[in-house]
Amino acid sequence: MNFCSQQYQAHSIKAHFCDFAFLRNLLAFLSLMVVVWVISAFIFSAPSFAGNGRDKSIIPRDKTNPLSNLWSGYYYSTKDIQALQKNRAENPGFKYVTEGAQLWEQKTGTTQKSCAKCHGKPSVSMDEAGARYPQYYAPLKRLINLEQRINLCRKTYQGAKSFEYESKELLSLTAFVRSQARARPVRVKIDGFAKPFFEKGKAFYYQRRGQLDMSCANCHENNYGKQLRSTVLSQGQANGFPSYRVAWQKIGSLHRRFQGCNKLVRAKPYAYGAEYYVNLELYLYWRGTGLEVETPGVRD
Amino acid sequence: MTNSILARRGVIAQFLKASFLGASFFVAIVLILSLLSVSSVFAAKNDEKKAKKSEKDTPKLVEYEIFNLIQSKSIPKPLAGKKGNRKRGEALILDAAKGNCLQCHVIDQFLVKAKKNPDVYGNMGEIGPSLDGVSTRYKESQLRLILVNAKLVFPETIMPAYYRIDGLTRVDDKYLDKPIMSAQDIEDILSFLMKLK
Ligand code: HEC
Ligand code: HEC
Ligand code: HEC
Repeated sequence: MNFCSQQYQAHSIKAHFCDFAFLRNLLAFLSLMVVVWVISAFIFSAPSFAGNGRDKSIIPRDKTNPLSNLWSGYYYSTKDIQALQKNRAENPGFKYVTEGAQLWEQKTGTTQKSCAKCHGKPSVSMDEAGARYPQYYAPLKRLINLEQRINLCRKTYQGAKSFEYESKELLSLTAFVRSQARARPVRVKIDGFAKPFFEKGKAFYYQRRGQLDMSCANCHENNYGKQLRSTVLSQGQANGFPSYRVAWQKIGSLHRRFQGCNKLVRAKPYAYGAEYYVNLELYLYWRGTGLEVETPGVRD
Repeated sequence: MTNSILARRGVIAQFLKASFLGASFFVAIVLILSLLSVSSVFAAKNDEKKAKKSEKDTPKLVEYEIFNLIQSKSIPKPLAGKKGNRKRGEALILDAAKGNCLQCHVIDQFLVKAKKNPDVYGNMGEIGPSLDGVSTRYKESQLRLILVNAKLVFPETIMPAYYRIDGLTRVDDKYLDKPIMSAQDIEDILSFLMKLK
């Protein structure tokens, strides 16, 4: 470099800056300071180091969230199940995602248009929708979830019959679309038009029901992490759905899980896609705000 | 020759200077940090002193025992005048479709049996307290009430009311207007619980 050319005397001030040892020591000092700074930052502001809900919990930003630490259902699963979810090649849910990808390209209906025809590359057009549904849909004046959004496109834009809820096709397409948002933090809108539906979902969550007279909160808010007979209760988070369940031997929707939890307390379940469940779905996703979309999750 | 020695000395002097500078900065930072923590310890000590002082000024609290108000709530008479059967009671406690008590409670005597027969006795839940010694904590009449409707004793509890049909929401048709267990079942379980010393 120019300013370090030989013309300076050994003891001139400018020569100090050219001195290798000086620079090296300065560097060593600075890096020491950085280490001190990092360690003290770690000690004084530990919560700001964001987790992912799988091996480190997430502190919800919204102080009205009744949970102080958010954990994905992954955290409460056995090591085997965790390994299945983590490994893309072995995760049985990805079989459905692949089928969804095929449906995405398929021309169908009276218009003979594929999803791809209008939406293009899914990794671009669907990169965050999966983290944002259910959301308010003005024409119907209520919330719609991802399944219902997809069926709306089938009916109105493709001129095809909507898929039956919990059919393999709808599950595959939903898993495919939602998996495009994998690793994105869940962020649903609960104000504005969505507000009254959010409140209904919340009321549903805390309503005791069934012959056993339990609310969702009894199990998933007050007792998560504890053993309920042979299973460990999770926080009942929605971020992995549609999820593959070993007990089902297939992938299933969040509403199927709702029905299961209703039946567990001997309550009469609602139909798939029922407005009650869509409202509950919004409330549940809000409780998990910040958790990453993990579709397709794997559970036992 | 001398020039290069001089230059080398200069390098060493620089090295010492710079590392002294670095070390003193580091020491300064450490000093500041430790001063901060020491002062907080002093503050805490001060508080302690103040607390101790006020302790002298105020009268001392002597330990006392609370007698549970629960004792006033009970069902003294056997349901429907039935007499309990202990053996049947044990089976009902284990039965997932009836008492299913092990979903939430541990009973120590089953731990041994669990080793041989984990499907029936194993994996006891940890939602509620252990049921060992309940007969020493409660009278039979109180336990009867807890089984009939635990919410009358623990208002927010997750424990189901086993002998109740009113005030429930959206009960499945299959279970509508039926209690989880019969009067006989309750008395049977009760006779088992009364043996849990
Ligand atoms: C003819 C064009 C067309 C076709 C074909 C089509 N869509 Fe759409 N889609 C749209 C439009 C336009 C919207 C904007 C939302 C609206 O209608 O209000 C949309 C919205 C969506 C959304 C919500 C996106 C968001 O960010 O909120 C999803 C998800 C979606 N479509 C999925 C699909 C799937 C899956 C298929 C194939 C089964 C499909 N679409 C087929 C035109 C189409
Ligand atoms: C009797 C206790 C109980 C009640 C009450 C209950 N659940 Fe569950 N729930 C479970 C069990 C057990 C599981 C499976 C293990 C787990 O993930 O906790 C589960 C799983 C779930 C899951 C899947 C979590 C995941 O990561 O895959 C969701 C979502 C869920 N429940 C929602 C609800 C909702 C909503 C309600 C209220 C309508 C509810 N549960 C009521 C026991 C309960
Ligand atoms: C869904 C979980 C659950 C089930 C099932 C359950 N319990 Fe409980 N039980 C609890 C909880 C939790 C408590 C603690 C009270 C509270 O909620 O504060 C409790 C308290 C009790 C107590 C009082 C214990 C004490 O030491 O204070 C008794 C006795 C009891 N249960 C007996 C039973 C019996 C007998 C059964 C089966 C017929 C049963 N329970 C089923 C959850 C349960």
